[in-house]
Amino acid sequence: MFDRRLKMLLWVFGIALFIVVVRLGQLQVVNADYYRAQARQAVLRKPKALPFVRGSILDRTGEPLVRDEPGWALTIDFAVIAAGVNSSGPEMTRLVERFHRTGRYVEATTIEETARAFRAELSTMWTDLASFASLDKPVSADELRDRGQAIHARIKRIRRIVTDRRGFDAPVAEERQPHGLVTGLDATRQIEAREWFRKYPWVHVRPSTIRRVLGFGEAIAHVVGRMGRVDATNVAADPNADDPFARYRANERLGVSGVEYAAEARLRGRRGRLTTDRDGQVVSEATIEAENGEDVFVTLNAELQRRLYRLLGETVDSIPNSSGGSLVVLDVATREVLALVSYPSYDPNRFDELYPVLRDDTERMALRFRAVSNRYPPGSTVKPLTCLTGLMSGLITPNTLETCTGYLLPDHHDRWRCWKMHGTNIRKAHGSIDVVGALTGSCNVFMYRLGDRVGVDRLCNSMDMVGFGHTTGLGLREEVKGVNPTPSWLATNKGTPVYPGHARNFAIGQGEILVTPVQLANLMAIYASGTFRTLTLISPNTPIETPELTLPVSPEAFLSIRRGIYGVVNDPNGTAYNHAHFLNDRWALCGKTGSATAHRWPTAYRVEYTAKDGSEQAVIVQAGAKKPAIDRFVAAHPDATFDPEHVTVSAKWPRNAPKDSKYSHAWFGGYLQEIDAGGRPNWTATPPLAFSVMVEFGGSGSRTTGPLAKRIAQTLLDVFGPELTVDRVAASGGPS
Amino acid sequence: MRPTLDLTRPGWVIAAAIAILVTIGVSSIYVTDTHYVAGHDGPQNAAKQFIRVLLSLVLAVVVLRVGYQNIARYAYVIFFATLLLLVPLVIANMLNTSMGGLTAPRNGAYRWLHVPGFPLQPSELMKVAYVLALAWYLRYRKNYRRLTGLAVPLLVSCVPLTLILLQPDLGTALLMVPILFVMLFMAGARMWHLALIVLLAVAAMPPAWGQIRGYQRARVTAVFLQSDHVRRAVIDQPDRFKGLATRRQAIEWAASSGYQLVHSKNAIGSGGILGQGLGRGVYMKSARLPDGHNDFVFSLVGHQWGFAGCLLVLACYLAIVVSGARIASATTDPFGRLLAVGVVTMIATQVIINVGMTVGLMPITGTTLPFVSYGGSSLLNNFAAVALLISVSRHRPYLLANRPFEYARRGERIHPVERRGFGAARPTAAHDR
Repeated sequence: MFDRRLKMLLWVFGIALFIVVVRLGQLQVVNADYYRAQARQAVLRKPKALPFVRGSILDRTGEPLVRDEPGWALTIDFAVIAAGVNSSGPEMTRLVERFHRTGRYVEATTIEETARAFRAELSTMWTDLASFASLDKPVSADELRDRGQAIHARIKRIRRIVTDRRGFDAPVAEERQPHGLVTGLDATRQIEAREWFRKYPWVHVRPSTIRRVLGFGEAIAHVVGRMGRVDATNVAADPNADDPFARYRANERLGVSGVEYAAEARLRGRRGRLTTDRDGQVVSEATIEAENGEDVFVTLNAELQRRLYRLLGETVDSIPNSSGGSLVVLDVATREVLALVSYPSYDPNRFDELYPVLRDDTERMALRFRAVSNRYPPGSTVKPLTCLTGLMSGLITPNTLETCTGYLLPDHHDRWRCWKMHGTNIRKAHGSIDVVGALTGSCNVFMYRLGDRVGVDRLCNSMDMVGFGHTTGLGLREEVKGVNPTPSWLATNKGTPVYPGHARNFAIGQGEILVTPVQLANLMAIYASGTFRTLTLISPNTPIETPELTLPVSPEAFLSIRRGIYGVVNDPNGTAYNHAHFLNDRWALCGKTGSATAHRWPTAYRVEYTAKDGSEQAVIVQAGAKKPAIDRFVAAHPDATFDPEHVTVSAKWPRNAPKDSKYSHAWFGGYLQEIDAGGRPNWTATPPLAFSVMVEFGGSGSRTTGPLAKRIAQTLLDVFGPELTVDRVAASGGPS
Repeated sequence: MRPTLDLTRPGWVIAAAIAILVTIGVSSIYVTDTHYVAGHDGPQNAAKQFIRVLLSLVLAVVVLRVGYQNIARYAYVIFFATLLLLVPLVIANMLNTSMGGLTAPRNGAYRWLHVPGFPLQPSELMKVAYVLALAWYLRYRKNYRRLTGLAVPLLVSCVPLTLILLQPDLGTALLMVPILFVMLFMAGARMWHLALIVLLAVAAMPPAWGQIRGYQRARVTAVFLQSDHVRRAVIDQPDRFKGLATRRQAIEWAASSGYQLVHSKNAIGSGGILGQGLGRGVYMKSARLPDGHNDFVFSLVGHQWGFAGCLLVLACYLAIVVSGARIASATTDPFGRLLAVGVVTMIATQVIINVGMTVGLMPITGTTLPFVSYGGSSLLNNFAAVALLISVSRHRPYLLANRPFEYARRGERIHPVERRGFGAARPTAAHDR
């Protein structure tokens, strides 16, 4: 019996052994290839994203304006951020359990002691982080904690979205990653950071680039634009959504304004993927190199831009009421933008830090890209266009004479006056003048009469031809179209039919017309060349034909326009002769001044409200318009009740002005006309450079901007040489 | 001078098999040394293991010199001494304290006594102590052929079983049950009694399923979840398979409860027929397979030496088991017989559970692979057990003794000198000549 049972027992063992052997055969013989592949997979580390370098922005000479510079960020594991935010959350529990198990705190024997030790270490970590970060710029531990809290909140939001999609709650990838708390460390600082934070295994120093505006950033801040965080709308509208290496990720940055935005597709690169095995060896078949973004050339001349920015700044700052200005220089032949200055500006490398101040400065509005996004009435600068309209229509010829008596209507001396009859300093009227004379003397009466004859339709048609009411082709998202007040526009937006007064007003650049400084610069280029073209700011990879339109006017008639504009500055009767006369042996400054009616704008609102405790109170809110004022008030006082009727303007720019004073924006638009040896203009040569300059609340166009125009002309000669030769854009296209 | 018996041959076979197994074990520990255990078990594991092998050999020689019969007299003493060693661990676990450095939790369980220089795992030593005690208890009795007589061994077995379960060390506890049953079975307990107890145990399983710890349940379900189809089914119809696993368990299987199994199977499967070679292959370069030097050493043996190496290892155990069975069959000493059977069962069951878990046939429990896995207590236990087995073989059977545990089936007569044993060389052969 014993032996029989022993046999049975051995059978049982034998069968078990047989099953094991069969199973081993299945694993090692039949499916060996499958498991070999699995094993190879299993020992690969999680692939790391290889960052790309965003393309640089360079000026036409190849000088870099904006560049990605290598940098590092201090990052912290999400679990530790979460534990810092919520000291009783699951992350805290898990970390404490792990540290207890692995014995991170030698003296802590119980889990409670471990928890205490960890909490203490966490709070020293925040202090350490703060004192480390404060070496660059002061920051408190609480601010850093707030940053952690923001990261935590963002990732919890992502988790909620993912939970909805998956149908059950589970950690998302971001919860296993470290997140940047202190960014922008340079090479020395990152080594210091490694040294400082060695004792915290959850603090990592990771590479991350810094976008830096080089040189005198203020001068180009608006043009190059800013970078911002990718948000939901960017992800939704991502053109590369199908490419896992190019699509936007939640913690990336992208261009949000200026050239950064306009050339985003070219500047942006494509991420790579680095796969390593457990030894850290690169597995090349599973690794994809990152593709860096393309360098983008802009047509600006950085040197010119900087000098003109300083020039404009000096002028604006010298006028107490002036809030800012802009200055645009164009290459007439190619219509490339050589300078696009907006003043005031800000240091783009300190934007984050300056933002609260910039946002609240509703008087100077340094964030406005005035050159393309502010609209002003063009004033007298369109008078040549009015004449051109008359000449194109054939209703007048260069020889047509009109008589200026100072008034359009003999029995209404208070209306439709010439500028000579304004104010206290009554001067002699223009008398009998032709187109050249009318432009030289900037005669209003001549223009009123002409406006009456050509009518609104023709005026608006020619404004359309020179690009008013359209963007100029810069490709900047900030650019606005301005207003070309056609009869249909008047009907839609003002609800008025066309009156004779409209044509008279439009003829002298007042009324509803609104143009941007860059449109006006293009108008000057058209006065110089007789041809409309769209403008170029971002140099394309392959040259493209920009739309071109030559105005249908005879050369003789067009010459009268140029002679008129020449006369403004160079004829002793010209309106800008005293202030802007500029002549050397080669070039004469030509141009047209303008003084456009300006209205004070609101800079602060007073909100009367009933507080939570029932008391009536009032507060001043800095805002440029009523709606943002209300928005900001509601954000700051969520409990208050208020009547929108009791939100009133409390301050305006210019400040403390007498009620009856009239304001005007000062314009000067012009170009440099070549002159021959005898000092006479060489009418066959097309002026190479055109510009427009505007000073907000600058007063008289000739007095304020005239001297400035002279200095601009001198600067152009300094930068481009006595021949005013503008080199072609250095190079374009191709990844860096 | 005692005549050399043929029974020495099984002893040498066993010794040779153990030599092979220990060599494979130490070499595997050596090549994993730098990867697995730096800062965990200390860097010099292979050296430590080698020293423990030598210590175990000394113990084995001592056991052989003393002889199993002299040791047997102290069977109960050894048993109770080992039981006493278990007590502090149970207390430590219940109070969740390290008892002033006497023990420390590892993976949430208190299993080691920190004897200076030699961390001791009493539950390992309990295995051989239990076999000794049980054999000593059963050697001259017959009452276990009645249902009431079974009660005493069953109830007494519950004491170490409970203590070990409280540590908790499910693997060792589960090992004791087959030892008990096989020894009762071999001692001649009635089949239907044993079947009844098994039935009762099976009936007790559903309530017990609710009682065991969550991670232990997950280990069982993890075995089922290794099938893609099962996982798919649980994910698609979570309500229908609620009893088996949650949807989340199924989705995260490969990263959580199935992690160890996935990598164990990868390591074994990728070994192929002949293996990757000593210290080679992706799993030898990385720490992807935790416990690769102790409980999962078989996976790394399969990874390095392939199907052929696995067969060699299994053949060694088969040789030990068959030799043990011959010894059991040949000896006429009832204690020696039960001892041999117990030792054979202990080793065979450990191998089946350990190999079964590495290939995904069994739930993962903390069971070592005898003679191969890293671990001093396990080595001591197994060497002592095998030394006892060989010691049994070195004693000449009493030629005229009744063969013990021979109970007649109905209508059967047993000849007093019936000696046809299982495959055993007759002790007469050499002697008669």
